[in-house]
Amino acid sequence: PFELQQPIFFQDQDIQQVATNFITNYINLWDSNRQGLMVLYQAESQFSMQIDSAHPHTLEVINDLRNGPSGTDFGYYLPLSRNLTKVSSIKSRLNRVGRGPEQIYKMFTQLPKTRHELVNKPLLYSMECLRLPQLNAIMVTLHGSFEEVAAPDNLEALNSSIGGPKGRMSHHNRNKKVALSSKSFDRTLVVIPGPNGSMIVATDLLLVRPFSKILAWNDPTNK
Amino acid sequence: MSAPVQDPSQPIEPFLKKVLGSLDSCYRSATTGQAQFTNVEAYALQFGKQLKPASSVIINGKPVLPLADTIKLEFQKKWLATPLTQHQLNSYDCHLIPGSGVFVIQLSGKVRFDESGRTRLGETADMVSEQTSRPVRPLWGSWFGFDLNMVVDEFVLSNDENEVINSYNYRITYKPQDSVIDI
Repeated sequence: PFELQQPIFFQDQDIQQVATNFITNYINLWDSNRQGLMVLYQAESQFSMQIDSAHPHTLEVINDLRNGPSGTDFGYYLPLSRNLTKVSSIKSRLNRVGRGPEQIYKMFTQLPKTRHELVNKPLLYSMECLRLPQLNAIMVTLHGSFEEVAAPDNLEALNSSIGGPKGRMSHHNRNKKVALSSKSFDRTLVVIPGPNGSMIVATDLLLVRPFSKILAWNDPTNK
Repeated sequence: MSAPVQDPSQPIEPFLKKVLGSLDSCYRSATTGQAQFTNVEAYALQFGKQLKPASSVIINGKPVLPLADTIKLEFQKKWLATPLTQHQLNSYDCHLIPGSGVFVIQLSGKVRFDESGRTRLGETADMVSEQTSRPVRPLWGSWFGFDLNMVVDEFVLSNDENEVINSYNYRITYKPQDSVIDI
């Protein structure tokens, strides 16, 4: 009943220009230099990350040699995950949101280093951009996948969660290396125009889920 | 900036379940086969009833455009023509944007469709259909993955039955290969 799906939606042409440039530069810096993104975040900006490990996906991810057939390891993400269906203590619910550039940057350094192929393989991604008149903002949602290329710079959260009292398997895990692999994701950014043509990210929500080769937004017949 | 003492996200989860539940509701009771709504219109009007009449609705990258009706009514008409669904919430996160009075909510989960060939009203395209009085059970297909982003008025905290959704962006992120469903 709904019209045929399309991978990319822009509410109007202005948005198309702004959002495409924005997201391309954003992802480029996310892969190469996350510090370079911090100019986009201000004191009231918020960032958080959630894992949906039960999201449907294909089971044939085994061709990732470094990962082996062990399934997807979310070890680096779990200590930060703000999946609110799973995190019930008020303290954790509040602590897992980064507010302001300092906290947000710290969280960025606790996530694995990545490579997105937005420029080389745009068909792997889909995106919607729409205006939020209440905020004079645009909301950009990007769906796709990335490859993890290195462990996070900052392992503080990982180590404290492993060594913590609630780590049932703390002895096993202490020296375990978390396997790197590809992941799929959805990321929603609310961007507000700032002074002098600058942009401010008011809200940044990242959802990480198991990698899936099959993309719902591409017609399999024209692959 | 002082840390907030209260967690405003607590009442969001029941709200999300109500929204998804409204999309999944059945016209007929699964046990008795009796219609649970006074008429089809009443059934259609409860799909996503928390949407504002002029909210932005985007389904798989395509906006729902109002023809004669509001966007909300157009969405409800289209949703009525989809097969019966079952949504499951796996994960959500949200931010209250300071000073704006709105939450940005991102949620994800899985959804499956009735692949028996019946519409939500229990009708099939078969010319000859067996007449039966017993309730017809849906034939659930494989799980799809979905990601939904919404902008919702802060007012949702005090009344989650009202029209509070400003924008609704629904995207199927994973489609099982054994399914023939396309919405």
